Amino acid sequence: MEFHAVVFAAGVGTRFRDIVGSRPKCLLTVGGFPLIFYPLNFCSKYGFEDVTIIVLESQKNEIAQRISKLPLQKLKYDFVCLNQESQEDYGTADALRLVSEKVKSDVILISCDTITNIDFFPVLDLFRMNDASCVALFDKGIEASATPVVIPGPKVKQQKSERDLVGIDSENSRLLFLASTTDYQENLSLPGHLLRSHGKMTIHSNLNDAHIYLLKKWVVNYVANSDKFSTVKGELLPFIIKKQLSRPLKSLTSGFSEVNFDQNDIFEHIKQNELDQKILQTNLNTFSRLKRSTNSELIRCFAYVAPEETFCMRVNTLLNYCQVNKKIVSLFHTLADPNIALVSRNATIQSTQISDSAVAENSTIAEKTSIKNSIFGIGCNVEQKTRISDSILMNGVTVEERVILENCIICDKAVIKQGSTLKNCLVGHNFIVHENTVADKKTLSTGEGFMEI
Amino acid sequence: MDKKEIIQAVVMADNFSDCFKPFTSFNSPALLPVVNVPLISYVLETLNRNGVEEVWVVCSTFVEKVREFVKKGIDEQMTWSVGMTVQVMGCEVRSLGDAMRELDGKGMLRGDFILMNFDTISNAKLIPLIMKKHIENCKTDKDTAMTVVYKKIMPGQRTGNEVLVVTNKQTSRMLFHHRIHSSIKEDKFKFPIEIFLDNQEVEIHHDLMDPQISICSPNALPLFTDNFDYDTRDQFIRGLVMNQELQAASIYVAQLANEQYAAKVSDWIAYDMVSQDIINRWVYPLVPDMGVCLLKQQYLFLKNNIYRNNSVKTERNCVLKNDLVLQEGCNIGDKSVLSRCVLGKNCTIGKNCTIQNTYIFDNVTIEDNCILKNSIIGSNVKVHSGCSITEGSVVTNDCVITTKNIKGWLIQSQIPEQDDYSVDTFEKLNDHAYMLKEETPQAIDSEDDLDDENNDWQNYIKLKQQSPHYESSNYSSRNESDDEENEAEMPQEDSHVFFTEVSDLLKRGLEEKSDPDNLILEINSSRFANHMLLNEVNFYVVKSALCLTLVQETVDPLEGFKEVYKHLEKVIKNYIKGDYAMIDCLNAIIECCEEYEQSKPKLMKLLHFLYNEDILSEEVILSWYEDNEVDWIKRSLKKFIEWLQQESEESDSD
Repeated sequence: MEFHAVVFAAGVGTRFRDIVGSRPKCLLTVGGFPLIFYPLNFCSKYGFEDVTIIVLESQKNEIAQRISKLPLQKLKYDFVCLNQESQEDYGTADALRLVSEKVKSDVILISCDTITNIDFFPVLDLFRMNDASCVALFDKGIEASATPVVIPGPKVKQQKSERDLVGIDSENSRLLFLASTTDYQENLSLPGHLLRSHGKMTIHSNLNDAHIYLLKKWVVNYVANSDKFSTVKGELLPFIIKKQLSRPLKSLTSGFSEVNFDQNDIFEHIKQNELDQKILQTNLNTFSRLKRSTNSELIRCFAYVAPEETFCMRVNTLLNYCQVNKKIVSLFHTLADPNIALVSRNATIQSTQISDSAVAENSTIAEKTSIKNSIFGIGCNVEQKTRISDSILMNGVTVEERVILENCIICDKAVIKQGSTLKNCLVGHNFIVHENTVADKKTLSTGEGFMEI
Repeated sequence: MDKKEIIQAVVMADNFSDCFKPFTSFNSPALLPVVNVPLISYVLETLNRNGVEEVWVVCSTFVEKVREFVKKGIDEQMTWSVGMTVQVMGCEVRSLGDAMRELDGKGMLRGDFILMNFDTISNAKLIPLIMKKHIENCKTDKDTAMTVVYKKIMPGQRTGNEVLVVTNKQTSRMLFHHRIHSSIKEDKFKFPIEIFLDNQEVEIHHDLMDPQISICSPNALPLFTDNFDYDTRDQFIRGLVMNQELQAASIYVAQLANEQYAAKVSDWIAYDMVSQDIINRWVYPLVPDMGVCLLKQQYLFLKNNIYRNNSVKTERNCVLKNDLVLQEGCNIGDKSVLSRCVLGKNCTIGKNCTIQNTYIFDNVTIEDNCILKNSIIGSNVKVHSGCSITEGSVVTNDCVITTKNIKGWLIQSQIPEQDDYSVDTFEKLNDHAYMLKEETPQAIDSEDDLDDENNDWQNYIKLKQQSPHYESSNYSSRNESDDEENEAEMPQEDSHVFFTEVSDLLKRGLEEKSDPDNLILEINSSRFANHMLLNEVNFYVVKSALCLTLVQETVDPLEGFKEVYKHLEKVIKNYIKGDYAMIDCLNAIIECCEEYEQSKPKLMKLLHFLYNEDILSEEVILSWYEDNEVDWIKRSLKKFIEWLQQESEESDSD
């Protein structure tokens, strides 16, 4: 196998905990499927058949059970568990360290909350062609103003999201700089050497990191032997990117190599023989002839910026969760195999007025209902004379007669009693909305998970 | 034709610097020949080829000579005079900013116009793309003041004209401008973070060279008038880019296409590079055999880039290697070897000469067995047999060279007439050759204009310092380790100006016993005009106060300083407040000591004096001493530090 895929599914969704609740984030309902279906489906679509899924130990069984029911043939997956008790917070790099023993080839890292329909072959080409150490995937993101979405629940002040500064040499796609805007107060300072060796660098502040990375195997080995990283994005990548400009210690201090020699120097892990070096130098694809010196750099990071029309989104905030669900029906054919249907065969649908919606298995939608642009999880039960539009119903939701739902999110096992009218509302887990409730822009829940709003 | 469509241009015929001195002390720099054509002809030709119809040549020095040249050009129907009117405007200006203000006052420029310097050599086609883009920008952005045209070069190349520019990728609007100093290898570049937050995609260019071509909107001129402190184009750009909101003016960046050439002849190094580029036909059609400005053909273009006039006579065994331009009436003697040189009219080269990489102007006679390498020879020079002139020597017009071995010297035919040069500064080689002495001369104890004189000296020295690079600069960019060595020698432009201004102020203040408050005000205004940081201000104020006495060799440095301090106490105390300022003060003292050897022994007493006057605190001195690793400082201050430590222990025990 050329690539070993690693899916990070141990996230807890701190940024929208009220929706996720205590359940695994990766099982959140998106278009009738759990979130994790999308990265796994991505892997199987591009033939990465060895998949290691990193999960929290306490959630493993639930996740494994759910994945086993997903329409993913051919995929061979195994789990690596993070023991929550032994360590408070696992970062992505910590998790990678645990997987390193299983990794026998270069890796692709995917976050479980990334949903994308990107054409991945150019990214692979970039990696192969340049013999890259690392390729990171970025996308331009959807302009918030282009599709105004009303987030259900009370109005919250939109927090200004943290943005990345991504420096790319536009001529050869080299990734030269990666940092968060919040790291800097007044001035951004860049090393003079970096600018001298790359005459023209573009710094983007509008790119989202898709959290899909291709890494050489030696990078994983390096992480395994080093304990200075805890996250991939925040620590490992900036480090490797910075190291691109340096030369191995050994060549500088030849003769003194015994003294003060860092056993785990990053360059120790790069195994490049003379032949590789020669191939790279004569490779016409790599760089322009003028910049031959860059070929001799041992670490080479690249960035691939997804074309404009690509859909790529991370489901890590409530806003994104709503947006994804609004778009998923129209985009689903670009994401998954055409044989996989959004409306499950095991669902019982008697309604004649249902459009642009996804219904998972074992859900029942009674006759004389009007369903528009909505998502139904597993085992939902919608009774007669209801009208549901632009809403997300997670698993096991019961909607009784004469209920009207507009732009709502109904969490697991909630019950909406008859005659209620809810607009722009959030209904919490296991909550029972009483008969004839009328609410707008409210959060209805038992209280515990919803404190943070 | 509609009046609006006329394209206008302004050519600055002065560079307000002395890099081509002493050639520029008797002629306009605009008339300096490059490959046997006066510099300004290239500019006029470029403008003409771009369809410019009205040109104003602004000059402040040698106006008559420039005017005469232009008139002659029109009379002789030089190619640039066809379809283009050229007017020479002589005015008393001391900077580009002054000239622009003058032009604004006259109100002759109606629309967008091209602004170029006389020393730009280019075959750029500005109108089709860049001018059009500029006009489009003006339509969408009413505040467009200027489009600056840059040329892409190899990253790492340093000719002194490189810039670091940050632009918005979509609009090409300039967001940051920094001139790269040719001798400094920057460790870090700092950019205001807003640049990146306010613009989605930002491009950082470190591969651009500034040939001083720009396209200005009509509203650029009033901006110069409103901001009387904008003197150079760089100040203008920086001022507008940094205060974009304040000034409501924006600057855009355009790049020349790859096949178009542009370069600035800013000093002798650039002179050499550009000359070779012309010979190697990068500036086509501005190449010798096409007859720049003239309709008749002057040269035959032969293989190995040899341009030879029909009338050139060569003896049988002389070797013409490569990259040569031989103008009318040249004679080359037997067994002489020539490569990479330019010969003006009626030059005679004797037998057995070796001439490499040398630029020889008109009517030069070089006798037998001479060696000329990497040098500039002015017109009417006579070099006696057996002489060698090498390593970036500059020989001015009318010299007679008899000295055998000339290495990197600057030679003038006579001592400049100005009174402020003393005879000692030149060494007489013979009646028609005076060499500028190597070492920094001590300033003469003259009453007035002491600083002006220093200024002049600086410029001579600058040329001196650059000369050694001359050899290595050919084509290949200097390697970076070279640069580091020279780092300290080149003062930053702004800081240098600031330093001289402050010295001037203090000196006058001392003589006139003027109010210290006024001095502080004047220093502050000079600070803002020169973009000085506070620590630089502290540094230079102390340094200039010290230098006031140090330049007078006869006066004891310490006593002299005490005298100065009496009057300037308030000024110095105003700046040297707080620990950081004290460090600046200490650094300034050290720098002065290093510049003026005679003050080194007095360092300790000087510090003691300042300590007693409460300018310096003991903590700062002690911690500064700790961090300091310079040998002589450690040695000379040892006693003082011990004493200080005792003092502090005593006061602790109290």
